[in-house]
Amino acid sequence: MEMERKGIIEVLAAIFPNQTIDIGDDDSFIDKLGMDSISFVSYVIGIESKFDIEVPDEYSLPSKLDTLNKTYDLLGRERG
Amino acid sequence: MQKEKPYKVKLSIMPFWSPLTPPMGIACLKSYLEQNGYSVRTKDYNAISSLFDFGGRYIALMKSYTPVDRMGNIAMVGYDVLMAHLIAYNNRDDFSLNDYHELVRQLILNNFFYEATDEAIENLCELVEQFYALLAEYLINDIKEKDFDVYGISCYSLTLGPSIFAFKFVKKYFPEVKTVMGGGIFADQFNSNSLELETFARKATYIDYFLLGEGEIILLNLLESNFKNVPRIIVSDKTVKKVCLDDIPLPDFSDFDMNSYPQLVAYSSRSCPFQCGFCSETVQWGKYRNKREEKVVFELRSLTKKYGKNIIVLTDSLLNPNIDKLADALLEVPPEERFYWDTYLRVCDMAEDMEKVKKWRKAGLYRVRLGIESGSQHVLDLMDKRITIEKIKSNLQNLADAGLKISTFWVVGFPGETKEDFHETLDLLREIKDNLYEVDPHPFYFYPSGQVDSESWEKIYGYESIYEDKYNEMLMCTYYKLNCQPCREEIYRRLELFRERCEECNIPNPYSLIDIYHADKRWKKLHKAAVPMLNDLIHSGSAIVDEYRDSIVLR
Ligand code: B12
Ligand code: SF4
Repeated sequence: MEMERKGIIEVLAAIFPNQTIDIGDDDSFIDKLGMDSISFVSYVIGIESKFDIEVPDEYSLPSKLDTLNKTYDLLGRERG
Repeated sequence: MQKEKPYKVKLSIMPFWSPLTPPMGIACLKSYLEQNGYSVRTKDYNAISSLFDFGGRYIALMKSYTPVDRMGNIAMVGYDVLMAHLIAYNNRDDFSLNDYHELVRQLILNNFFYEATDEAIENLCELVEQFYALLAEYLINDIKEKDFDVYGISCYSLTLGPSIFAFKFVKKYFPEVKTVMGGGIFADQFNSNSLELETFARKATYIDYFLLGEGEIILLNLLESNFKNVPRIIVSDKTVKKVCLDDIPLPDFSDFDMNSYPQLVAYSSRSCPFQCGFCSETVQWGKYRNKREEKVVFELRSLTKKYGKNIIVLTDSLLNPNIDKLADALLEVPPEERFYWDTYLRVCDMAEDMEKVKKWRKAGLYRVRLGIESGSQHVLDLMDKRITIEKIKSNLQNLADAGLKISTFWVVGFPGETKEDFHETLDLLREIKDNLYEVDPHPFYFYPSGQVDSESWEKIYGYESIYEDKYNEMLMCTYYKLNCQPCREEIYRRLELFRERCEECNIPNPYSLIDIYHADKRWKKLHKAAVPMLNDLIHSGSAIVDEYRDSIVLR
């Protein structure tokens, strides 16, 4: 989990270079970091390349993948 | 300097209208009215992710209850259900809860042809309730200072429910504020000759004025009249002067957070010189007019410089009449300032000439949006589309060879479309699949007025309401179907077959930015000359890598 957390934070830090990524497992990136539809695409692409997975269609809404916990779930599912 | 005018105006657009570009209509009105001395604030509620997201959540929820063989084009037809549901919510207190739930069941039945469970209906209603609770929070925040005297909403069919909600809301707190509705919904659904508009206007007592068609002059006239002796429904018809596109100011986007839109927006003309039977462009805009090329180029360069973005969606109904001259003018833009543009085009002789297509590509053409409509010559002729299947194929080949993204729109179930005709469409899809960046099929919609052929269909076939009277009351308007073949259920069955064929051929129908990202990856794999991916354009600033564009040498 720690590795995953670190990887996700790196992805977020690259998208929001001017913010400190101090975020709890259930904090929404939308509320806390101001993630919008454009930065969400960067997030999905970042997660895909960092963890070498394909994010499935059902996660293609910001609200489906806007917290650390939701991202852990996705990674758990995709990486078996 | 103009003297400040007595009215402060607030103009908004409600969900669900994808924030792919900032809303052009209210940006045009803002600049025009401000040039005439009025103070105008604009707001796009679609740019608020947490609100806009509800649309996708509603579709995802509906998808989870919909049998696979009934899915059809749910990404689009699902919005038809949501749109009607959002309207009905506003009137639910005038009916029993049971009627409200029953209506939602009918909406699903008539769009997806299965009986939804109570659980599905309750959960969909709950989501709509949550959406409106959040919208109310934003609205309170925006209107509490009451810094406006006139409240206008730009409305499309897809945004009607939330627009009704906002009008009611404003009138409830500030009955003295004048409320005005305008926008694309008056192109077809609420066309000026329609009974629908009359019925809706009678019921929507919280809307003071309905302004139809091109808005600049009629809205200014309304304000200048001090709301004295003016009719409630005002139409920008033949009797009203149209704006000269060379004289009006640039649209004003200053109230929007431009970072929340991936693309810019501009236009070079209004209306269309053609008259396809199912279309309403000429009904909305009247006579075809265009801007001088130099003015368009100046606008595009100013926009890209000002907002540091390099992709512009042109909102012209059709660019064919200007595309070649515009491309010539854009070739003069210095390489360090170059950008891309995206437009509606019609299958045409020009695109048969690869040299021309390459020139457009060199000048920055990025994506073409083409109405293909059908793979059957018989249906294209019924539509008076004046294109041939052969020309469709050769146009697409040239455009794809130049790496342009090709978005295509299709009408399924046009009156008189036979099974054989439809199968020709499916065959064509398979044949040209690699030259299709995107395929967006629509069921045929009928409006008793507002389409070029509305009247003749009415005479030949007759039509009837899709829903019972009680439900039409709740929906504040009537949705119709023609009494002809293919019937409604068959149209939606064909839509499902259409979707299956696209799935089999791996042709996407991207709606969100993330879908576009996946579609762009496919396009790049298929075409060496492919234009840059949208995501790269959004993030690359001026450093765009496009080897094919650089390599084109024009004869
Ligand atoms: C560009 C465009 C798109 C683009 C971008 C849309 C976007 N989300 O940004 C794309 C290709 C993605 C698209 C998609 C669709 N589109 Co579209 N699109 C257009 C197009 C060509 C231009 C819109 C525009 O900006 N026009 C320029 C501005 C200046 O015009 P305007 O907004 O109408 O504003 C003028 C007047 O209406 C009036 N006015 C506007 N607001 C107000 C407010 C007040 C208070 C007043 C007084 C006046 C007023 O004054 C303005 C200046 O004159 C129009 C057709 C057209 N030529 O207008 C169709 C149009 C808006 N689209 C239409 C439709 C149906 C769709 C789709 C639903 C199709 C589908 N079934 O999938 C989708 C849905 C998109 C979505 N979910 O967001 C219809 C809407 C009809 C309706 N009944 O609502 C239109 C009118 C085309 C048509 N004739 O059928 N579209
Ligand atoms: S479908 Fe296209 S070409 Fe035909 S009238 Fe409408 S805008 Fe013009």
